[in-house]
Amino acid sequence: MKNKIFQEKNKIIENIKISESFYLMRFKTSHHKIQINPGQFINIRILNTFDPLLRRPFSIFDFKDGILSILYKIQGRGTKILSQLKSGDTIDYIFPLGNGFKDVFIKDNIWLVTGGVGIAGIFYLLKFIEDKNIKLFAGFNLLDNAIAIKELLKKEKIIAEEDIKISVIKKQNEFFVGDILKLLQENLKKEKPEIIVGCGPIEMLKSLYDIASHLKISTEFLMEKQMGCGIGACFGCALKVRENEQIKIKLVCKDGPVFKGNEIVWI
Amino acid sequence: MDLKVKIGNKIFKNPVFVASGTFGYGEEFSKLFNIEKLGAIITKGITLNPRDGFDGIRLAETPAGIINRIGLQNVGLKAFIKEKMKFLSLLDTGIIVNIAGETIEEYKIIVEELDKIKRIDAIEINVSCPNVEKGGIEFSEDEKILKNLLKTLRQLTRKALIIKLSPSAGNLIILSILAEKMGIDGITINNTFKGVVIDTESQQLKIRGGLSGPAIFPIALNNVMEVSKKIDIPVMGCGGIYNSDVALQFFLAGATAIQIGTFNFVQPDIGPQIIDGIENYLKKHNLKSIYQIIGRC
Repeated sequence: MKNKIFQEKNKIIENIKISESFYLMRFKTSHHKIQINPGQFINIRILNTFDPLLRRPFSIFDFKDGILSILYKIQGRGTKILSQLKSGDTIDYIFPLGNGFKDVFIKDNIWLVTGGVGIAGIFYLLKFIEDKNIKLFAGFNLLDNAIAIKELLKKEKIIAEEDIKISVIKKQNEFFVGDILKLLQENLKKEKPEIIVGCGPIEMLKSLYDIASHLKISTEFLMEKQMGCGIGACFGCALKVRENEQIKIKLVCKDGPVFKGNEIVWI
Repeated sequence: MDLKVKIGNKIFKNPVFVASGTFGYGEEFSKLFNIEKLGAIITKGITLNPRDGFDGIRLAETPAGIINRIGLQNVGLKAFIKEKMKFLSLLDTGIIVNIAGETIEEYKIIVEELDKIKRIDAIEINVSCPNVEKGGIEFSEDEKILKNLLKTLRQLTRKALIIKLSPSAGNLIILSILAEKMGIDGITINNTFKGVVIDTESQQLKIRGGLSGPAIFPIALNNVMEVSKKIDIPVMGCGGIYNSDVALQFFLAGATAIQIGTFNFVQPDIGPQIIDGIENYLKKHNLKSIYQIIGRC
C-alpha cells in the first residue's frame, strides 16, 4: 500500500566493518515486496533502553531480495553501540520513511556527488538509473574508505568503472587527491550534466549548490537533520525552504529528506 | 472491566491519552497503528495565526530524555479547523485541542471558534506561553493574569477545559487550586521541565528548552501526587511515561488519566501497549474499574 510504513523487529544477518570508518549492516524484512524509493530512510532503535533514547535515522543503502542494508560510520554514542551489535542480534526499525528522489528520474545526464558516508544515500539510487548517462563523484577522507566503496560498486555492477570518480584527502592511490568538488569542477569544464544529485556534509552541499546554480544545472539533495520521531509529528527537523516566493518551514523527515537545491534557504 | 474516565462533562473510553506536541495532528501515527484505541488524542498546540516555530536547534538528546525548543510551530486556528479537523473528526476517540496564545484576546478567539465544533471534546490550555502584553512573562507566572484568563475562557464554553501546567513556572499546588476555583475541569501535570545543554567545545549554549522523557518521571510523579491530594478535579499525569508500570504509578498517585509524550517517538504504539497493561493489572487484582486504583497510594 502506498505510504504505508512498518515497524518490525528482525535478526541482523551481518554487521561488519568494511573499512577504517564504515560499517555495513544487513537484515531481513518480512515486507519483502514493499516498494522502497531511493532516498527514503529507516529509523532504528539502537537498544532496548533509554540511553540513547531516540531512534536513529539511516539512508536505506540497499534493498534486495527482502534484505535491507545500511552503511554507517561511528558518529556518536548511538552508532558506536550499533557497531557492536552482532549477527543474530535483534533490531527494531520503522521504515520506509520520507520521500525519495524525484527530479533525477526525468533527466538523462546525471552526476551524483557524495561526501564521506553520504554515499549511503546514493548507492540504492544508482540501481534505478542504470540505463542513463551517469557519473559518480565520491569524496572520502581516507583511502581505505574509498577502496571499500569502490569494491562494493564494482561488485554490484550498477555503474561503469570509468564513470566512478573518487577523491581522497589524505593518501594517494589511483584516486584524485583533494576535495571532491575540485574534481567535479575539473570535469565540469569539459561537459555539463542536466542534474546534480548530492549527499554529504551540509557545507559540501552548499558549495555544490553554488557551483551547480552558477552553471544553471538543477540539483536535488538528500538533507540530514537531528530527528525526534522521523514521521513528522514532533517538528524537530525543520528546514527553511522557498515556496511560491515565500519562506516556509518544512520537515526533513516528512517533506524530505530530498529537496531541490533551489528551494533550500542556504545559511 | 471499566476503563472509562470522566473529565468535566466528557466521558473518555479509557484514560490513556497522548500528550500535545508529541503526536502531531494524529495522522502521522495512524500509518503505524490503530490510534482509535487511545482514550484521547491531544493535538499539537494551536495558536491564532500560523507559526513557523524556533529558527535554530530544536532538539537535543539528553540522558534518558530530550530537550526541545520547537517554538509552537503550527498551522494556525483557521487551517487547523479546515484541514486537520477533517481527519480528526472521523476518529472514534476523544479529541482534545491544545491551545496557546500571546494575549488573553488570542486565547479568547480560539476558544470561541473551537466551541462551535461539536466533535471537539475538550480544550487544553497551555499557559506556559509568554504574555506579550506583560513583557513576555508566562501566563502561569502571574496569578492575577492567570485568574483573569481562566475566568474569561470559562465563560465562553461548556466543553471540558483543561489547564496544562509547567513545573518550572510557579507553584503547581497554588495554581491548580486557583484553576479549580475558576471552574476548570482538569489539570495536566506536567508540561516539560526547563533544561539546558551546553556545547563544551564552543562554550556556547546548544539548546535551552523543555526537558521530557523517562528522565523526568519520578519528579513528574511526585508533582502529580502532591497536586491531586489538594484538588477534587481530575489530574492528568504526564512526564516520562514509558510502560504500563509507570503509568499505573501515576494512577496510584492520584491521576485520573495519563498522557504519553516523548516515548511515542521511541515506540509509536506504546499507548495501546499501556492500555493492555492496565487491563491485565486490573484483572490480576480483581478490580472492575480504573477508579478503584486512582489515588490509592
